[in-house]
Amino acid sequence: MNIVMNKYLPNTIQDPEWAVDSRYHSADEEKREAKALLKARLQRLKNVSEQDKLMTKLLQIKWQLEDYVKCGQPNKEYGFAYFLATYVDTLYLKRIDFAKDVHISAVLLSQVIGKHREPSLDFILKLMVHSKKVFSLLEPIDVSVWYRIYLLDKLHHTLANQSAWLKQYEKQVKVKAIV
Amino acid sequence: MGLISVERFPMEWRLHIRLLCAARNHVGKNKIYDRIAGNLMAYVAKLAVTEFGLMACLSLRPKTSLASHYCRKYRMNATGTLLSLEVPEINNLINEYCHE
Repeated sequence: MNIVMNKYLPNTIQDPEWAVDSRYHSADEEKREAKALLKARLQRLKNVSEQDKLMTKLLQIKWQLEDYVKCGQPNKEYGFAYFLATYVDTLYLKRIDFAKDVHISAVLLSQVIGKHREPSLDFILKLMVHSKKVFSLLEPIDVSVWYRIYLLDKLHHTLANQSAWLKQYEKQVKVKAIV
Repeated sequence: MGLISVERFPMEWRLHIRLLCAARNHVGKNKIYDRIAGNLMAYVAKLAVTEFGLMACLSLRPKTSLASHYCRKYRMNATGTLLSLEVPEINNLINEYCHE
């Protein structure tokens, strides 16, 4: 980055909040420093408390949920089942404990996570209430993200399977000529 | 108001700030808006945590004379000439600048 020096700028240029140029000019130096940094980071990670680890994982889930809804595009890797599994596994050692806390059967939970069964409204509402309680201790979450992700998944699945329903409905639906 | 250029190092779970600058009228004694650099860094920090979770890292390599400012203000860790933010300090930065 070229920084133009003139009589009006010399003091400003020393202000660290004005500009930082941290590009490397040597690939070897970059690799060396990256290696040293990674080693130091892994060492520092050992001193992070379990509380901070949990908080970070929950924040990650929250922001990933929000990004997924904002993006609105289908993603086979993610979706309701993925986020549900990640959320439950972050908070509980055993999934059955989550099932007990929200008063659903462990079998139902397993079927929803495994995508063998769709979540009912009752299930989603309980999940929303559970999230609200968890995140109230951390950072408020718009719990409707769970419902939105479920609806997004449903929409994408329906549109991806048009061959199964389009022809049938095309026969039934007519549009009268509008003059 | 400001610009930031970031490089991703996914194998190291790290986002490196290559360039960071605030507009001239937002720096110095007569600045119009404050905390431009902090907000930009916090935005990138949030991206890092969203993508890398617990392993998230934000790094920066300022001039030696400016490093102490970043260590003091943003609680960055120094490793050689590199300054970095990891958990939990990275969450503190996000809390301070993203939740005003």
